[in-house]
Amino acid sequence: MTLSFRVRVEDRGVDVAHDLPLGRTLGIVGPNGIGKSTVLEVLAGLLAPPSGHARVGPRVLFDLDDDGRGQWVPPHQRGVTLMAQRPLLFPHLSVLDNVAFGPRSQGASRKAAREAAGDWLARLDADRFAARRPDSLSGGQAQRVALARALAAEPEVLLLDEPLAPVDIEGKADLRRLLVDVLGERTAVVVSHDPWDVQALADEVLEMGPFPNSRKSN
Amino acid sequence: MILPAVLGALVVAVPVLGLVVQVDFAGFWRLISSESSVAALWLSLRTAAASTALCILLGTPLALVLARSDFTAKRLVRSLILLPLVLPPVVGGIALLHAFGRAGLVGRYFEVFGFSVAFTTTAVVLAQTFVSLPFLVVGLEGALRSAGTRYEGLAATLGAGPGTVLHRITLPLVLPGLASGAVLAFARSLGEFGATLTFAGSLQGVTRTLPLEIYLQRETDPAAAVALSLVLVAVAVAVVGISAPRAFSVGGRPG
Amino acid sequence: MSRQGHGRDSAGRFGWAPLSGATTAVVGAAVMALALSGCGTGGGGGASGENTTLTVYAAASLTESFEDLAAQFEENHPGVDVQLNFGGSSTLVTQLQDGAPADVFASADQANMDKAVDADLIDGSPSIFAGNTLTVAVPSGNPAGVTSFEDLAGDDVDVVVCETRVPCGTATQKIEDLTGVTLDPVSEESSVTDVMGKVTSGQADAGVVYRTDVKAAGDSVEEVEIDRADQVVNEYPIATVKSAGNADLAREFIELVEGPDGQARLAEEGFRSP
Repeated sequence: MTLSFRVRVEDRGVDVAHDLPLGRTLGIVGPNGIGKSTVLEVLAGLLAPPSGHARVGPRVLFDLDDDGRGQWVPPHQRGVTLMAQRPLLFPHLSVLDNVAFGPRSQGASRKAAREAAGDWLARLDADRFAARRPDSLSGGQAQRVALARALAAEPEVLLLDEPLAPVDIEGKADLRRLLVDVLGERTAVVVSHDPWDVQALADEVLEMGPFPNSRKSN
Repeated sequence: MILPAVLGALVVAVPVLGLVVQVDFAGFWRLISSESSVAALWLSLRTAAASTALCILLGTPLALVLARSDFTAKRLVRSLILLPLVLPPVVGGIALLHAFGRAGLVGRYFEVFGFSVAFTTTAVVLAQTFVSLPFLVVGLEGALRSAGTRYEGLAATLGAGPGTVLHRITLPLVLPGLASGAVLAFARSLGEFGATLTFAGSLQGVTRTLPLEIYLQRETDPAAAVALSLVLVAVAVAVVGISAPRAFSVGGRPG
Repeated sequence: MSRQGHGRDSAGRFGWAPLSGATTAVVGAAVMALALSGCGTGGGGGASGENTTLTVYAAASLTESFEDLAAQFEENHPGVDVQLNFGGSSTLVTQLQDGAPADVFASADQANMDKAVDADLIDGSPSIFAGNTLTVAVPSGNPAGVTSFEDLAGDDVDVVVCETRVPCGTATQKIEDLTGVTLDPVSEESSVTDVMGKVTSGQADAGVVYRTDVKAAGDSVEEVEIDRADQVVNEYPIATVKSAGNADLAREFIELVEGPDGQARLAEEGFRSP
């Protein structure tokens, strides 16, 4: 059982493919502007590529032929959650309701969703922020909440785009440790320009570079 | 820079000042409390509230479609919606007459069902909605564009379907923009004159809004017209002053 | 002859409007005269050359007839340029009070002429040159089947009138008092133009308007006469303005209006002789 994908977006010079056994973490590295984020957006369903495919086990995320025809599952039915480069906490909701958003959207009652959110915040040592407004958090705190929010959605695949970028030096080590902990048995794809982060978090690496076909390494 | 800015402010301020100094304050209360004035003010407030509600109901989906979807006729649709902003109101009134009037394009079918908007308060609300809708749509579309789609996309990856995203993310995020658009629409509805005069008629308590009453008062009692004008200015200032700064100050940065 | 809409009063007051009909030399003289004397010296008062301007302020309902009469006047008085300014009578009085240059003022009602007299703007006493009576206008085809003023009181007839605060509304009220018919209008407009607009567009089944309005509207409306309309006559007074630059010409113009040619032309528009 794997997360297998091929993503081709010619006008951004992106053409990558990979098979990732479920429960493992893939790191995507490469210089800025090479299209790493594009791959995540396609997997999350926020950007439709001209062609390509992706599956989680037998479940199709998308399967588009060269004419762009075929299957395209909308983002909210993929079980694929994106943690974007910036925390993007919903500014009109409290920290607790931000984290409860995933479970609530998936049908949990308000009470159950808040309980789940509280648990996740506690696990990430962020429960003291629960009642605060997102704009009162520091970069590291916000990213921690964003991680709790992504995890609370109980995704099958978690996508992380430069998760350590908005965090200052002191916070970085803490958050990195936290990520190592939560990514343990999860299927995840981490994009980073920092080889150290990838080394710490990823089980395998996909390197995107300025050449026609990206190289696969391990 | 300063001089043109001051001149710009004066262009607006001087006529208002001219109006204020003209007011007969001693007889002000007597002038504005006549039965016809009170009826006109009350009608204006009611119809402006109704048309603002209608603008929100119809304008929100329209702004969403314009900001979030892509179709070939979009530019055309947007230009069409902006039309009432640049049309002389009387032209709007004539257009409404030939659409919803008794012999109008749509109005003749209303007649068949024994329903007529001619000379009713509904006609006033319709005229006000026609001229005010662009204010709401333009304001809201701008807010939607500046809010962007990143929050919406992220919410979708958390498992939220389009309906959930709309009412839990999109609408709350653009609430300030919606509020300021609604305030402007209300103020515009309150001041609507030309389209109402041409389309709805003028009958106390039914179709004669405050601007129409002022126009009529001018014929016989200019002092009362001036006094009522000041009431209209005061209501407009109150509406814009109380609601708009809050809406505008947070308009760009949601939260 | 040149015609000037009331939207251009300020231009007229500052002496730009004569440009349309005058030669460059005369314009130069007029501009200089205005510059020396300030504005508001009286209609065409600055023109000292061969051409003389006679400025006539007239109620909007007189537009068609006065345009023709002005052309006739110019024909009989070579070198005279008649300039017409049409507008609502109350607007015209306001303009006169503000110092607008005019030689002749023709009002659509006595009240506004009285205002001008009270403001000491009028030379001598005004004379009545025409009368206008009320009538009922119905959309062509007469959808509601109106045959008399009494029919207008019916529940199924949407009738539009002028509000009692404007002259045509006052006249309508008098007819109601005379006939004992009480109307229940769907709209009380602020001008007779707005009443006509509701009738020509078919919004209303009937409107109480002036005979001249029905004549001017042509085929788009039909007329249902009011039996006792003759008893409520709206009289049109005309007078020379005190500040007239050419009082003799002004009097001659008034004579034309009141003479057989003028009366015949006015009758064509639906006016009655006083």
